[in-house]
Amino acid sequence: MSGVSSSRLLVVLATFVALGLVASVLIGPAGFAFGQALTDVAAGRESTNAIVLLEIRLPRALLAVIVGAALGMTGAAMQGLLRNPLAEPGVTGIAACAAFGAVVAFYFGLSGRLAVGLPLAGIAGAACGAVALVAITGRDASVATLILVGAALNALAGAATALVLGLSPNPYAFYEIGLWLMGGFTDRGLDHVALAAPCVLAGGIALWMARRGLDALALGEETARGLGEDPTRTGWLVVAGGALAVGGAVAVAGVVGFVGLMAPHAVRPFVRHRPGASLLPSAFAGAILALLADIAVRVLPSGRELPLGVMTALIGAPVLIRIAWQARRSGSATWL
Amino acid sequence: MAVDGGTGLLGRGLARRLAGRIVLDRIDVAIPGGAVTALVGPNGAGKSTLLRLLAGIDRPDGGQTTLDGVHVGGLGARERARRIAHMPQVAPVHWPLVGRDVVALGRLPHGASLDRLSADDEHAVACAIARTDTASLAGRRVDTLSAGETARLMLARALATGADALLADEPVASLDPARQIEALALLRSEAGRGVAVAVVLHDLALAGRFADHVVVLTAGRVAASGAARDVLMPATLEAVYGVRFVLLDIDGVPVPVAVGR
Repeated sequence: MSGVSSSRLLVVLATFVALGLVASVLIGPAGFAFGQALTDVAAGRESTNAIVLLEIRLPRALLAVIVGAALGMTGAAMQGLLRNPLAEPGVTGIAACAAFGAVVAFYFGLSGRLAVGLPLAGIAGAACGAVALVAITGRDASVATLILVGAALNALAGAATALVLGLSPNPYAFYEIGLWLMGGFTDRGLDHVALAAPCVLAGGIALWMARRGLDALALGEETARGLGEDPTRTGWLVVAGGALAVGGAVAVAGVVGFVGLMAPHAVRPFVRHRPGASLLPSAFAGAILALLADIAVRVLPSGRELPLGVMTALIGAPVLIRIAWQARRSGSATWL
Repeated sequence: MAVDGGTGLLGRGLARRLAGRIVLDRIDVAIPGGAVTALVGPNGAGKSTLLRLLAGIDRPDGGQTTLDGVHVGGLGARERARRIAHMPQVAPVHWPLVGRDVVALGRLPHGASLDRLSADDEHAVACAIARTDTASLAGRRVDTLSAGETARLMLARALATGADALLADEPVASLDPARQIEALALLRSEAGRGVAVAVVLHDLALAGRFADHVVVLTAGRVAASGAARDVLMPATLEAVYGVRFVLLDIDGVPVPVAVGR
């Protein structure tokens, strides 16, 4: 039988996450002695090395793990719920809705007065997007419906964000927020990590609770109900969990596209395409993808660092095209 | 008629309306334990709707279902699913799962998940695969299987639950004659273990051969019910289907055949 045992797959993926984390801390433009930084941190010395480690490299690497895991696991859960391999926070517009929520928080100074205002606004935006998506498409959406609704939500959230930016009295805000919207882990601190981590953890737990319901939905809603799994409960778990995870992630990192599409796609053959069993591996794979993309933008010899969202789109958009191409040829997108 | 009398599923006064149309009109039906009950009737008679109400998947607009005297609507979803296995007429498989994983889904009501099966779950899955002769399909992706092969896996999935009642909606529609007989013999052997088996059939010859009881539904009402031999009479069937029937007798088994207007 194809596939590897779940625990062995998770160990392999976790090893790659750890390697990526170390590589992300080691690689960067600033001259940096890792060993010296560790000794300084341990001794409580505020040396340049210690500051680079604690305030630049470590937050950046940890955010990549947290945000990548949130996007990967949410993508896997949404694909299971909608039984559609293209469902993903970015393609469906949920990430854009979360970004709109975060921009509103910026604009009204909510994030200045209250640190948790930013992730809360992101979660609220993501929740609105997710509820709208599931309400409009229904739970077994065709590829065409999903893409159309996603395009509409993306356009709406994008326009609303531009409107808020246009109203901004500060000309620099437009540029700053525009750059932030393209996603990235630069110039974030451990306080951002502390904001995002609880949201992503809570969301991940809700998504994990949906795993049995997602397995049952593989045979359609009627069989799922016959197996004692209420599809409505599964839907709410995925909507709430996805909104928490994606809202928290987007609020600190902006829109990092396509990770939620690629991660489940990459792990599914290794878990025999079981929807529930693909959740955790997708979280790990998402973390690995985000770490690698974030390392890539640092080592690429570009004049200034590329926004991370640009890098993930460069890799992810061809994957999306490939999936759509396969779906067109097989006449159905359910077999991928 | 005492509600708590006897084992098996008992529906009393079951009513169901869909979009203002009466699909089931307060019908009484019994699916006794240890027997096979065939539900027959024209398209749109309400057979699938009745099966879903009996399984507790949908709530009736009136009436209630009991299983061994216990009100089904009062059971928790998972306990209900553990005690009543339901096989819908159409079950899409949305991911290219392997056959064995499809069968293992029948263990979800026992608290299993596909990546965590207990020894009991493994045993039940292996037995269901052996009894449906699907070992050769267990390692294959379902998107490479024929409709008939998938249907046998779905039957294995329902058997793996090990429920007290098994309700199958046209389980043999896509099977070849040999597999049809095998599948119905399997349902008979389930009944032999005390399970209350209900099966929706369009093939009245199979109903006559394998069912102990037959319930004829038409337009949301019970037109006839009772022992197969008494119900599958040309006069009854002609009134329901509107075509002429002749009744053959093959080795003592009643075989109604539709012969035209």
